[in-house]
Amino acid sequence: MTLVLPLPAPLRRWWRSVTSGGSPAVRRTAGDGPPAINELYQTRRLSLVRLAVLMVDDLPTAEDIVQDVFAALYRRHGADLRTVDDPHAYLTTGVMNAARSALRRRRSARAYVPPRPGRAPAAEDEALLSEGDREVLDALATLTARQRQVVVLRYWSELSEQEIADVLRVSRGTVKSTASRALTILRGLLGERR
Amino acid sequence: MSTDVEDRLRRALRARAGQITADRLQPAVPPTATAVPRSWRRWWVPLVVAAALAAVFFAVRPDGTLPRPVPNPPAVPVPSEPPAPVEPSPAPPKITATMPRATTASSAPTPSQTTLRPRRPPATVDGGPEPAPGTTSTGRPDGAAPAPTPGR
Repeated sequence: MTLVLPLPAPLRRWWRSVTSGGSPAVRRTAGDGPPAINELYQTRRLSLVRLAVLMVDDLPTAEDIVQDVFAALYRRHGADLRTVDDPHAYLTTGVMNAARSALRRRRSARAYVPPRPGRAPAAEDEALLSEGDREVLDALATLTARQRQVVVLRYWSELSEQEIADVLRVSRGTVKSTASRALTILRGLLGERR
Repeated sequence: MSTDVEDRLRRALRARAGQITADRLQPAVPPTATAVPRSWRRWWVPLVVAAALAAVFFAVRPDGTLPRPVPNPPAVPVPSEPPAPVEPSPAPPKITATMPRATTASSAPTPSQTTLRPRRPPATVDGGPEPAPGTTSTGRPDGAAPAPTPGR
């Protein structure tokens, strides 16, 4: 006989994560393949690093962010990811939150210490970008972290307003107003420089 | 104008993201090789939770009250001074010595005992040992003398 308790969804997920015992590194998704999280790591790492680079500008920080998000996912849900409803959304949200925190820390530090030379974009990156692209990216760096999140998710990830709201855990109206303000700022900056 | 800014945004973001290629990334380290899962995610955790819930369930009465602690009886009856009798009360050894006689007196009730029957035995008032039903003792609160034992 199975005892069925009417538990709320977060409690059920927690209970499943607790009861999913065994060695997570040994558990496999199907048959003898690698663990699900390692497969996800191989397939999503590059795109997530690109997403993080668009947020924080430099590659080492972006790689650290992505690695930390995967590590947090593994610590919380194990290797098989059975308890995660949408691992892709989880990773995107994690990268966005970590990038936003990194931007905030960086801006707080800039208020007290001058920026380090190592934080500047690599020379090869600068050389490969056109003048117009560099202008846009410089203007993007003046936005707030939240505005930058919305712009990147909308114009690079091509997410809808509702999808952005789900990823950032805000309302759709917040996404709409934030995008509008960001475009107004960008329009002003790019219009003045043209 | 707005479309132009949005197009420029898309182009710039695509160009910047395109600079990041797989060969520029550090060697991949799978999360299972670096991170350690939480140590408490084991099969025995639900058992511990169930045991704790069972302990709480049995510790609390069904009516929601905690079990009442059993009061400890006094190890030694505290001797208390008997109420001042009309006549000086005998010493405690004499009290124990008179108890059998009082028992025998109950078999032949006297008028004084009949009138004093509803009264509470003084032994309980004083905190001393309670006499058996139908028995009398010395030291009555009303100062009545003990029933005279028939001289048999």
